[in-house]
Amino acid sequence: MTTSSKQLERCCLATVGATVGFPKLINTVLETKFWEHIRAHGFTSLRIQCGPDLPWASEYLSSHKDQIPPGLNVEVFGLSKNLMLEEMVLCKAVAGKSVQGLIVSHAGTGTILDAWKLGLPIIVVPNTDLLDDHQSEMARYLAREGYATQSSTDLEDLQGAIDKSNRLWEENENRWQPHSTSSQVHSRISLWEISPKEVRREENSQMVHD
Amino acid sequence: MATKNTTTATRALIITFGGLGIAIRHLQLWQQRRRRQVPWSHTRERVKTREQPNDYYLFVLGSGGHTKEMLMMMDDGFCHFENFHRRYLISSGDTMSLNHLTGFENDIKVLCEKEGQSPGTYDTKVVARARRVHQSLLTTPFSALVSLYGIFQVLLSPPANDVGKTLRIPRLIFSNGPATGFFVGLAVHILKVLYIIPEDRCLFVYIESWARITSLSLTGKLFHFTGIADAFAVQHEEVAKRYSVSNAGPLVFNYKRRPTGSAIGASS
Repeated sequence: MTTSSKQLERCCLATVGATVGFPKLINTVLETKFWEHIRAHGFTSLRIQCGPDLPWASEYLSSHKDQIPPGLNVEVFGLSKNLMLEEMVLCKAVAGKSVQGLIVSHAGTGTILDAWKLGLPIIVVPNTDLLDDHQSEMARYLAREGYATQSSTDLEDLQGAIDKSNRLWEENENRWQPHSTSSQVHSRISLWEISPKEVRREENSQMVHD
Repeated sequence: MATKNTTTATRALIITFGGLGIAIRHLQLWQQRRRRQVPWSHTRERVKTREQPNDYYLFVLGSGGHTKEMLMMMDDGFCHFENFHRRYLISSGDTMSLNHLTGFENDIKVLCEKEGQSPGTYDTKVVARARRVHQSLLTTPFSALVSLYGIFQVLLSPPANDVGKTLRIPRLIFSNGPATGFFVGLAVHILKVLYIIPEDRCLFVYIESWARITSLSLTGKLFHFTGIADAFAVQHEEVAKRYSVSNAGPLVFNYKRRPTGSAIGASS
């Protein structure tokens, strides 16, 4: 990893959302083995949005600073005013400066949609302790449709997901392209076309079904 | 004595017939809605213009997530907004929605200018919350009434521009799940029962939040079981099958991504 004289940056953002916190996920991304794993994938920066878990996370980090592998920078923070514009953009590839990074996120829809808007690969880790376990449903859907890689808070799972995410990304790059011309996109209606009308005899049969 | 009885009887009659009238009107509106159909997928080329020379839509925004999704559905590269007015209804204290909305409208303006099109006009109306998070159920009816009153005003006050001169009330209303959405639907229904709003105006389009994969949200259930929306769709197959409703597909992914630093930068 240290062979090239001019190392490109690669950022990994771990995010748990603003309100409830997700100590299990923060625990995992603060493990030395996790740091070594992402360093081996060429990551140079790990930024962890901790929400209400910031106090203990920052205390843990400062007492384990000596275990951070060389070439990796680890930072924790509580909240960002605009996570997409201030933090996620750091994961974007910039010619001559950085290669595309990765988002590791709780399965909150806001973060997922923002990552999708920026076209960034994302690993979703459902917070199974929440009401009705609704995040698992979202994580399963995203994984099934190929929008994201699913993982648990288990270290080995997450390491595997990072390996897999790199591969998935290469395979599925097309579906993340800005406004792909696939038939799937075109069959969806535009909000601006939606117009409820009284059914007229001649036009209803094919309109009702998709 | 006799006169008193007559007045009581008259009152009873008025109430009975009034009640009956309202019930009939309610059923009549409900049946009309059932006859309305919406094509939820493409049958022709993407439209370049809307059907009317003047148009006016109302969008019910609410809480960060719902607003984000609504704006993603709207921000699909469409930029033919001549004589088109967008009104946004947001709840008091929801600065996040307001910020997102301002960013979106800026993006639309930039996009339309680039395409040589008019961005149309918009305004924003704030109403009191029907129910704050953790608010006691006991006081909810009162705050809901205050909210409803605000909604009536939003529906009935025409936009202060040329579009508002010809179209005094919205043609279509969009919502994707915040609780306020149902109150707006209810307000429209009441105003239609009372013949204050004509039947072919304020048509309510409810699109369930993309976050609802297997079940409807509370607002979605209310719209589904009362039938007061003119168009109803969800964004996932599982939930569509479960309630036998239309699946419009993930409309949030209509969002047209732009290179970082251009329009995304403008929305900061």
